[in-house]
Amino acid sequence: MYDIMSPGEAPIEFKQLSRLFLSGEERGDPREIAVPEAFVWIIGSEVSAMRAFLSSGISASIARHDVNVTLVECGSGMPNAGYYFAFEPDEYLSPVLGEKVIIERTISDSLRFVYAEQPSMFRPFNGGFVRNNTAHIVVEAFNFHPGKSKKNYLEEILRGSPFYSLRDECGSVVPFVIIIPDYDRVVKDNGFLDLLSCIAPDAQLYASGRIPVNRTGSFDIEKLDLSDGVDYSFGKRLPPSGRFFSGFTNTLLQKIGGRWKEG
Amino acid sequence: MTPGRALNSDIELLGKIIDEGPVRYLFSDFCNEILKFSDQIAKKTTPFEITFHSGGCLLLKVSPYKDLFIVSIGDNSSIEIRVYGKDGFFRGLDLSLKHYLDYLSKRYG
Repeated sequence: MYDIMSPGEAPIEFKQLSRLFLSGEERGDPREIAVPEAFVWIIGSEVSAMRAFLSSGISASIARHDVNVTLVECGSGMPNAGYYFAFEPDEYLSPVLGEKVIIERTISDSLRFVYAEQPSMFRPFNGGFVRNNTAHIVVEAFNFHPGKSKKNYLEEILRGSPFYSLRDECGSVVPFVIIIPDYDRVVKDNGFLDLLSCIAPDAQLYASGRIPVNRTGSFDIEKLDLSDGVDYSFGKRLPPSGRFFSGFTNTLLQKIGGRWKEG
Repeated sequence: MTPGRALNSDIELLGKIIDEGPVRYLFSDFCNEILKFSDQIAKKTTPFEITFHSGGCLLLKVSPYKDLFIVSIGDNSSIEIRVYGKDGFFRGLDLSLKHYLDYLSKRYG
Protein backbone atom coordinates (compact mmCIF):
# COMPACT_ATOMS: atom_id res chain seq x y z
CA MET A 1 0.00 0.00 0.00
CA TYR A 2 1.29 3.46 -0.82
CA ASP A 3 1.28 6.24 1.68
CA ILE A 4 0.16 9.14 -0.43
CA MET A 5 0.09 11.60 2.42
CA SER A 6 3.83 11.65 3.03
CA PRO A 7 4.89 15.27 2.80
CA GLY A 8 7.37 16.08 0.07
CA GLU A 9 6.71 12.83 -1.77
CA ALA A 10 3.45 13.83 -3.39
CA PRO A 11 4.27 13.72 -7.10
CA ILE A 12 5.81 10.25 -7.07
CA GLU A 13 3.29 8.78 -4.67
CA PHE A 14 0.44 10.33 -6.59
CA LYS A 15 1.70 8.72 -9.79
CA GLN A 16 1.98 5.38 -8.08
CA LEU A 17 -1.45 5.68 -6.57
CA SER A 18 -3.06 6.52 -9.90
CA ARG A 19 -1.53 3.37 -11.37
CA LEU A 20 -3.27 1.24 -8.75
CA PHE A 21 -6.51 2.12 -10.45
CA LEU A 22 -5.40 1.12 -13.91
CA SER A 23 -5.33 -2.16 -15.74
CA GLY A 24 -1.85 -3.37 -16.64
CA GLU A 25 -2.35 -3.12 -20.38
CA GLU A 26 -1.63 -0.08 -22.49
CA ARG A 27 -4.57 0.58 -24.77
CA GLY A 28 -5.25 3.06 -27.51
CA ASP A 29 -8.66 4.31 -26.57
CA PRO A 30 -8.72 6.29 -23.33
CA ARG A 31 -12.35 5.37 -22.76
CA GLU A 32 -11.48 1.68 -22.44
CA ILE A 33 -9.51 2.38 -19.27
CA ALA A 34 -11.03 3.62 -16.04
CA VAL A 35 -8.47 6.30 -15.28
CA PRO A 36 -8.72 7.92 -11.87
CA GLU A 37 -10.30 11.27 -12.42
CA ALA A 38 -11.15 14.31 -10.35
CA PHE A 39 -12.80 17.67 -10.89
CA VAL A 40 -11.50 20.91 -9.39
CA TRP A 41 -13.44 24.18 -9.52
CA ILE A 42 -11.93 27.65 -9.56
CA ILE A 43 -14.68 30.23 -9.10
CA GLY A 44 -13.59 33.73 -10.07
CA SER A 45 -15.29 37.09 -9.93
CA GLU A 46 -16.80 38.72 -13.02
CA VAL A 47 -14.16 41.35 -13.45
CA SER A 48 -10.80 39.99 -12.47
CA ALA A 49 -7.73 38.62 -14.18
CA MET A 50 -7.41 36.03 -11.40
CA ARG A 51 -9.57 33.37 -13.06
CA ALA A 52 -7.28 33.06 -16.07
CA PHE A 53 -4.07 33.74 -14.15
CA LEU A 54 -4.61 31.13 -11.44
CA SER A 55 -6.27 28.50 -13.61
CA SER A 56 -3.51 28.54 -16.23
CA GLY A 57 -0.82 28.43 -13.51
CA ILE A 58 -2.43 25.64 -11.49
CA SER A 59 -3.26 23.56 -14.60
CA ALA A 60 0.25 23.86 -16.01
CA SER A 61 1.71 23.00 -12.63
CA ILE A 62 -0.45 19.85 -12.25
CA ALA A 63 0.42 18.80 -15.80
CA ARG A 64 4.11 18.76 -14.83
CA HIS A 65 3.35 15.97 -12.33
CA ASP A 66 2.70 13.17 -14.82
CA VAL A 67 -1.04 13.85 -14.68
CA ASN A 68 -3.28 14.69 -17.63
CA VAL A 69 -5.15 17.95 -17.22
CA THR A 70 -8.13 19.42 -19.03
CA LEU A 71 -8.61 23.09 -18.25
CA VAL A 72 -12.19 24.13 -18.97
CA GLU A 73 -12.65 27.87 -18.68
CA CYS A 74 -16.02 29.50 -18.84
CA GLY A 75 -17.20 33.05 -18.29
CA SER A 76 -17.02 36.59 -19.49
CA GLY A 77 -14.29 39.17 -19.28
CA MET A 78 -10.75 39.08 -20.54
CA PRO A 79 -8.16 37.74 -20.20
CA ASN A 80 -8.98 34.10 -20.58
CA ALA A 81 -6.26 31.48 -20.16
CA GLY A 82 -5.60 31.65 -23.92
CA TYR A 83 -3.72 34.87 -23.17
CA TYR A 84 -1.36 33.01 -20.83
CA PHE A 85 -0.92 30.19 -23.34
CA ALA A 86 0.17 32.87 -25.85
CA PHE A 87 -2.64 32.34 -28.35
CA GLU A 88 -2.95 34.79 -31.21
CA PRO A 89 -5.21 37.77 -30.35
CA ASP A 90 -7.82 36.82 -32.94
CA GLU A 91 -8.10 33.41 -31.27
CA TYR A 92 -8.24 34.13 -27.56
CA LEU A 93 -10.21 37.37 -28.02
CA SER A 94 -12.71 35.96 -30.51
CA PRO A 95 -15.53 35.57 -27.90
CA VAL A 96 -15.48 39.36 -27.37
CA LEU A 97 -17.34 39.97 -30.61
CA GLY A 98 -20.34 38.07 -29.31
CA GLU A 99 -19.92 35.15 -31.65
CA LYS A 100 -20.68 31.83 -30.01
CA VAL A 101 -17.15 30.57 -30.10
CA ILE A 102 -15.52 27.63 -28.41
CA ILE A 103 -11.74 27.76 -28.20
CA GLU A 104 -10.25 24.30 -28.00
CA ARG A 105 -6.55 23.54 -28.10
CA THR A 106 -4.07 20.90 -27.00
CA ILE A 107 -1.36 22.84 -25.17
CA SER A 108 1.06 19.99 -24.47
CA ASP A 109 1.13 16.19 -24.24
CA SER A 110 -0.61 16.37 -20.88
CA LEU A 111 -2.58 19.62 -21.01
CA ARG A 112 -5.57 20.54 -23.11
CA PHE A 113 -7.66 23.70 -22.91
CA VAL A 114 -11.24 24.65 -23.68
CA TYR A 115 -12.88 28.05 -23.38
CA ALA A 116 -16.61 28.60 -23.77
CA GLU A 117 -18.51 31.68 -22.74
CA GLN A 118 -21.44 29.66 -21.36
CA PRO A 119 -21.50 26.17 -19.83
CA SER A 120 -24.44 25.36 -22.13
CA MET A 121 -21.90 25.48 -24.98
CA PHE A 122 -19.77 22.62 -23.57
CA ARG A 123 -19.25 19.79 -26.03
CA PRO A 124 -16.89 16.80 -26.35
CA PHE A 125 -13.23 17.69 -26.74
CA ASN A 126 -11.85 16.79 -30.13
CA GLY A 127 -8.74 14.77 -29.22
CA GLY A 128 -7.24 12.86 -26.32
CA PHE A 129 -3.87 12.75 -24.59
CA VAL A 130 -0.63 11.15 -25.70
CA ARG A 131 -0.47 8.99 -22.55
CA ASN A 132 -3.99 7.97 -21.74
CA ASN A 133 -3.28 5.54 -18.92
CA THR A 134 -2.51 8.18 -16.36
CA ALA A 135 -4.69 10.07 -13.90
CA HIS A 136 -6.81 12.91 -15.23
CA ILE A 137 -7.81 16.12 -13.50
CA VAL A 138 -10.40 18.46 -14.96
CA VAL A 139 -9.90 22.03 -13.76
CA GLU A 140 -13.09 24.02 -14.34
CA ALA A 141 -12.54 27.76 -13.96
CA PHE A 142 -15.55 30.01 -14.27
CA ASN A 143 -17.34 33.11 -13.13
CA PHE A 144 -21.05 33.66 -12.84
CA HIS A 145 -23.04 35.66 -15.35
CA PRO A 146 -24.95 38.68 -14.11
CA GLY A 147 -28.66 38.06 -14.05
CA LYS A 148 -28.34 34.30 -14.14
CA SER A 149 -29.08 32.21 -11.07
CA LYS A 150 -25.96 30.71 -9.52
CA LYS A 151 -27.79 27.47 -8.87
CA ASN A 152 -28.78 27.12 -12.54
CA TYR A 153 -25.30 28.04 -13.62
CA LEU A 154 -23.68 25.39 -11.41
CA GLU A 155 -26.20 22.83 -12.63
CA GLU A 156 -25.22 23.66 -16.21
CA ILE A 157 -21.56 23.21 -15.32
CA LEU A 158 -22.32 19.80 -13.82
CA ARG A 159 -24.42 18.78 -16.84
CA GLY A 160 -21.67 19.72 -19.29
CA SER A 161 -18.74 18.33 -17.30
CA PRO A 162 -19.02 14.69 -18.48
CA PHE A 163 -17.95 15.91 -21.96
CA TYR A 164 -14.45 16.38 -20.56
CA SER A 165 -14.23 13.09 -18.73
CA LEU A 166 -11.92 10.42 -20.14
CA ARG A 167 -14.00 7.66 -18.67
CA ASP A 168 -16.46 5.71 -20.70
CA GLU A 169 -18.91 5.82 -17.86
CA CYS A 170 -18.13 9.12 -16.29
CA GLY A 171 -18.00 8.89 -12.50
CA SER A 172 -18.84 11.80 -10.31
CA VAL A 173 -18.30 15.25 -11.76
CA VAL A 174 -18.78 16.82 -8.34
CA PRO A 175 -15.60 18.70 -7.46
CA PHE A 176 -13.20 17.32 -4.86
CA VAL A 177 -11.69 20.76 -4.43
CA ILE A 178 -13.14 24.27 -4.84
CA ILE A 179 -10.89 27.32 -5.03
CA ILE A 180 -12.30 30.82 -4.63
CA PRO A 181 -9.83 33.64 -5.16
CA ASP A 182 -11.43 37.03 -4.39
CA TYR A 183 -13.72 35.38 -1.81
CA ASP A 184 -15.45 38.61 -0.77
CA ARG A 185 -16.34 39.41 -4.38
CA VAL A 186 -17.72 35.96 -5.17
CA VAL A 187 -19.38 34.95 -1.91
CA LYS A 188 -21.87 37.69 -1.12
CA ASP A 189 -23.85 35.74 1.46
CA ASN A 190 -24.05 32.42 3.27
CA GLY A 191 -26.67 31.21 0.78
CA PHE A 192 -23.96 30.64 -1.76
CA LEU A 193 -21.91 28.51 0.64
CA ASP A 194 -25.05 26.52 1.47
CA LEU A 195 -25.55 25.95 -2.25
CA LEU A 196 -21.97 24.75 -2.65
CA SER A 197 -22.26 22.45 0.35
CA CYS A 198 -25.43 20.92 -1.15
CA ILE A 199 -23.66 20.27 -4.44
CA ALA A 200 -20.30 19.19 -3.10
CA PRO A 201 -20.61 18.41 0.62
CA ASP A 202 -17.23 16.69 0.82
CA ALA A 203 -15.26 19.23 -1.19
CA GLN A 204 -12.27 20.97 0.29
CA LEU A 205 -12.72 24.71 -0.07
CA TYR A 206 -9.72 27.04 -0.46
CA ALA A 207 -10.20 30.78 -0.56
CA SER A 208 -8.27 34.00 -0.56
CA GLY A 209 -9.47 37.50 0.21
CA ARG A 210 -11.53 38.68 3.15
CA ILE A 211 -13.25 35.66 4.71
CA PRO A 212 -15.76 36.58 7.44
CA VAL A 213 -15.60 34.62 10.66
CA ASN A 214 -19.37 34.61 11.25
CA ARG A 215 -20.23 32.55 8.18
CA THR A 216 -22.46 29.51 8.39
CA GLY A 217 -22.46 26.24 6.52
CA SER A 218 -20.57 23.04 6.67
CA PHE A 219 -17.42 24.15 4.90
CA ASP A 220 -14.16 24.34 6.67
CA ILE A 221 -12.44 26.98 4.54
CA GLU A 222 -8.72 26.74 4.19
CA LYS A 223 -7.07 30.09 3.59
CA LEU A 224 -5.11 30.36 0.39
CA ASP A 225 -2.20 32.71 0.89
CA LEU A 226 -1.72 34.47 -2.42
CA SER A 227 0.42 37.19 -0.91
CA ASP A 228 3.54 35.05 -0.80
CA GLY A 229 5.28 33.00 -3.47
CA VAL A 230 3.26 34.36 -6.39
CA ASP A 231 4.98 36.38 -9.08
CA TYR A 232 2.21 38.71 -10.13
CA SER A 233 3.39 39.26 -13.66
CA PHE A 234 -0.15 39.43 -14.98
CA GLY A 235 0.97 40.74 -18.35
CA LYS A 236 3.46 37.96 -19.14
CA ARG A 237 2.13 35.61 -21.81
CA LEU A 238 3.07 32.52 -19.86
CA PRO A 239 1.23 30.49 -17.21
CA PRO A 240 2.49 31.74 -13.86
CA SER A 241 4.79 29.45 -11.94
CA GLY A 242 6.86 29.59 -8.76
CA ARG A 243 6.80 28.54 -5.13
CA PHE A 244 3.08 29.03 -4.55
CA PHE A 245 2.06 26.98 -7.59
CA SER A 246 4.39 24.05 -6.90
CA GLY A 247 3.48 23.98 -3.20
CA PHE A 248 -0.25 24.27 -3.74
CA THR A 249 -0.20 21.66 -6.50
CA ASN A 250 1.43 19.18 -4.13
CA THR A 251 -1.25 19.88 -1.53
CA LEU A 252 -3.97 19.55 -4.15
CA LEU A 253 -2.65 16.24 -5.46
CA GLN A 254 -2.35 14.85 -1.95
CA LYS A 255 -5.97 15.78 -1.22
CA ILE A 256 -7.20 14.25 -4.46
CA GLY A 257 -5.02 11.15 -4.02
CA GLY A 258 -6.45 10.75 -0.52
CA ARG A 259 -9.98 10.85 -1.88
CA TRP A 260 -9.17 8.23 -4.49
CA LYS A 261 -7.63 6.04 -1.84
CA GLU A 262 -10.81 6.32 0.25
CA GLY A 263 -12.74 5.28 -2.87
CA MET B 1 -25.33 44.04 -15.03
CA THR B 2 -21.67 44.40 -15.96
CA PRO B 3 -19.96 47.81 -15.76
CA GLY B 4 -19.60 47.81 -19.54
CA ARG B 5 -23.28 47.39 -20.12
CA ALA B 6 -24.27 49.87 -17.44
CA LEU B 7 -22.33 52.75 -18.89
CA ASN B 8 -22.58 52.32 -22.61
CA SER B 9 -24.98 55.11 -23.63
CA ASP B 10 -22.28 57.78 -23.95
CA ILE B 11 -20.07 55.27 -25.78
CA GLU B 12 -22.88 54.73 -28.30
CA LEU B 13 -23.30 58.48 -28.64
CA LEU B 14 -19.60 59.09 -29.23
CA GLY B 15 -19.52 56.19 -31.70
CA LYS B 16 -21.89 58.12 -33.96
CA ILE B 17 -18.88 60.08 -35.21
CA ILE B 18 -18.06 56.90 -37.11
CA ASP B 19 -20.11 56.16 -40.24
CA GLU B 20 -22.79 53.59 -39.57
CA GLY B 21 -21.42 50.10 -40.15
CA PRO B 22 -19.08 47.47 -38.73
CA VAL B 23 -16.42 49.90 -37.44
CA ARG B 24 -18.98 51.70 -35.28
CA TYR B 25 -19.97 48.38 -33.69
CA LEU B 26 -16.32 47.49 -33.17
CA PHE B 27 -15.80 50.82 -31.41
CA SER B 28 -18.66 50.10 -29.04
CA ASP B 29 -17.51 46.51 -28.39
CA PHE B 30 -13.96 47.71 -27.82
CA CYS B 31 -14.88 50.35 -25.22
CA ASN B 32 -17.28 48.05 -23.39
CA GLU B 33 -14.68 45.31 -23.23
CA ILE B 34 -12.10 47.65 -21.72
CA LEU B 35 -14.58 48.44 -18.92
CA LYS B 36 -14.93 44.72 -18.26
CA PHE B 37 -11.22 44.31 -17.51
CA SER B 38 -11.90 45.52 -13.98
CA ASP B 39 -14.50 47.33 -11.93
CA GLN B 40 -11.68 49.74 -10.98
CA ILE B 41 -11.56 51.15 -14.52
CA ALA B 42 -13.34 54.45 -15.04
CA LYS B 43 -13.99 56.30 -18.26
CA LYS B 44 -14.18 59.97 -19.17
CA THR B 45 -15.95 61.02 -22.31
CA THR B 46 -15.33 64.27 -24.18
CA PRO B 47 -16.95 65.26 -27.50
CA PHE B 48 -14.08 63.69 -29.48
CA GLU B 49 -12.55 60.94 -27.41
CA ILE B 50 -12.94 58.58 -24.53
CA THR B 51 -10.23 57.93 -21.95
CA PHE B 52 -9.94 55.00 -19.55
CA HIS B 53 -8.28 55.39 -16.16
CA SER B 54 -7.51 53.24 -13.16
CA GLY B 55 -6.33 54.59 -9.82
CA GLY B 56 -5.75 58.00 -11.38
CA CYS B 57 -3.53 56.54 -14.08
CA LEU B 58 -4.42 57.01 -17.75
CA LEU B 59 -4.52 53.60 -19.40
CA LEU B 60 -5.64 54.45 -22.90
CA LYS B 61 -7.48 56.85 -25.13
CA VAL B 62 -9.88 55.92 -27.93
CA SER B 63 -10.67 58.51 -30.61
CA PRO B 64 -13.39 57.91 -33.20
CA TYR B 65 -13.17 59.30 -36.75
CA LYS B 66 -15.33 59.00 -39.84
CA ASP B 67 -14.27 55.52 -40.87
CA LEU B 68 -11.93 54.33 -38.13
CA PHE B 69 -10.99 54.76 -34.50
CA ILE B 70 -7.55 55.18 -33.01
CA VAL B 71 -6.44 53.48 -29.81
CA SER B 72 -3.60 55.30 -28.03
CA ILE B 73 -2.07 53.20 -25.27
CA GLY B 74 -0.28 54.50 -22.18
CA ASP B 75 -0.13 57.95 -20.65
CA ASN B 76 2.25 59.16 -23.34
CA SER B 77 0.31 57.44 -26.17
CA SER B 78 3.49 55.63 -27.20
CA ILE B 79 1.52 52.98 -29.08
CA GLU B 80 -1.21 53.91 -31.54
CA ILE B 81 -3.38 51.43 -33.39
CA ARG B 82 -5.67 52.46 -36.20
CA VAL B 83 -8.73 50.27 -36.26
CA TYR B 84 -10.50 49.84 -39.61
CA GLY B 85 -11.71 46.28 -39.02
CA LYS B 86 -11.36 43.11 -37.01
CA ASP B 87 -7.57 42.78 -37.40
CA GLY B 88 -6.93 46.18 -35.87
CA PHE B 89 -9.64 45.55 -33.27
CA PHE B 90 -7.95 42.38 -32.01
CA ARG B 91 -4.47 43.94 -32.09
CA GLY B 92 -5.69 47.04 -30.24
CA LEU B 93 -7.56 45.05 -27.62
CA ASP B 94 -4.66 42.64 -27.12
CA LEU B 95 -2.17 45.47 -26.54
CA SER B 96 -4.61 47.37 -24.33
CA LEU B 97 -5.14 44.25 -22.23
CA LYS B 98 -1.40 43.67 -21.95
CA HIS B 99 -0.89 47.29 -20.91
CA TYR B 100 -3.59 46.99 -18.26
CA LEU B 101 -2.20 43.68 -16.94
CA ASP B 102 1.30 45.18 -16.73
CA TYR B 103 -0.17 48.10 -14.79
CA LEU B 104 -1.96 45.61 -12.50
CA SER B 105 1.31 43.74 -11.89
CA LYS B 106 2.92 46.94 -10.64
CA ARG B 107 0.04 47.48 -8.23
CA TYR B 108 0.31 43.92 -6.86
CA GLY B 109 4.09 44.02 -6.80
